[in-house]
Amino acid sequence: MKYIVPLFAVLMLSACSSKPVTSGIAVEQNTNKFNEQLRVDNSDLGNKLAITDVKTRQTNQLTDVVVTLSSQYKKSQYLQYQFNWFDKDGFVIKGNHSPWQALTLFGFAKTQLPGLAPSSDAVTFSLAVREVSTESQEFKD
Amino acid sequence: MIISKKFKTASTYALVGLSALVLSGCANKAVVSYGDAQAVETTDINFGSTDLQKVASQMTDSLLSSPVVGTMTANKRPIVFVERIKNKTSEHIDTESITDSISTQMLRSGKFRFVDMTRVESVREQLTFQNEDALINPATAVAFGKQIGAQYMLYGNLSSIVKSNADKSDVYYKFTMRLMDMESGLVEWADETEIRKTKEKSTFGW
Repeated sequence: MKYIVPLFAVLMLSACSSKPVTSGIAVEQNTNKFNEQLRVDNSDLGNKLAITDVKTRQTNQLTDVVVTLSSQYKKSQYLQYQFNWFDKDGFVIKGNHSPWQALTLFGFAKTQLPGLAPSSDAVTFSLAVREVSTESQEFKD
Repeated sequence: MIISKKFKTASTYALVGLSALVLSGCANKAVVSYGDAQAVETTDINFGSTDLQKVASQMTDSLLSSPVVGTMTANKRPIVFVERIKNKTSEHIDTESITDSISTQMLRSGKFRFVDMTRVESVREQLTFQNEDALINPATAVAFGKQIGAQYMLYGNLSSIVKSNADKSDVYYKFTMRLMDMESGLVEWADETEIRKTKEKSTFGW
């Protein structure tokens, strides 16, 4: 009996999973200083993952960026990232729907995330990286 | 003896109460909500919205950043028609939806113009009506023979390799796309993108 009650309590707490964590880390090109562009909203992820470099160039009159993402964790990380684009006045580019894209980053690996502006109006960008949230994004069988 | 009995009754109530909580807290209620159309979707292993979005955005990015396309679009906006994406997978996939997304993104970039081959019959019907029906003022009728021919053709293939055993299924998609100069027949640009999806039975979980 004394085992059953705690067991039920554990079941109750674990079965009803809470809402998934959707915050992460981001880089926003609102200033020219790289350090001020970085944002960490999720310190757990911030300890395991870092944005170490942002490179920008013009390709065919379009802004072309690569963001370097470095893992600081020994295990694989299952992540998602999304680019958003803004014009010279800081307005989001209308009708541009950049999808969240899945990314697997192996232990202590580095990767470059490429982004290309959807049109020549888009001059600045923001990139958000988050962990795969646990709810609704795992296979249930 | 009585105290022990009382205790037993109390713990039975507690147990019943907890079970009720467990059952009611996680009841299967139908809830309708709006989701993020851009979110990563992993309902099952089949070709899904995330795959479509990934393929479309990667192909458009590759096309718009290629040096050949840079030269092609430097002083003019080439006219393209979308042939189709051949679906060589074992699934039913609406490949027109992929080409729609790609052509929309290409048009939005301001570097290309498109002619729509899927609406040729409707255009012909309307022009015939305008030019041959007495209802229309001939001065306002859109004339035949003024449309501009496409210079480039966009086409591609989508194929898959599916493997599975008792515990695991794996699907690999390969999407290839090409842009052909219709005058010379040369393929000016080509690229491919790959997607791997794996589904494993989880040992723990509900």
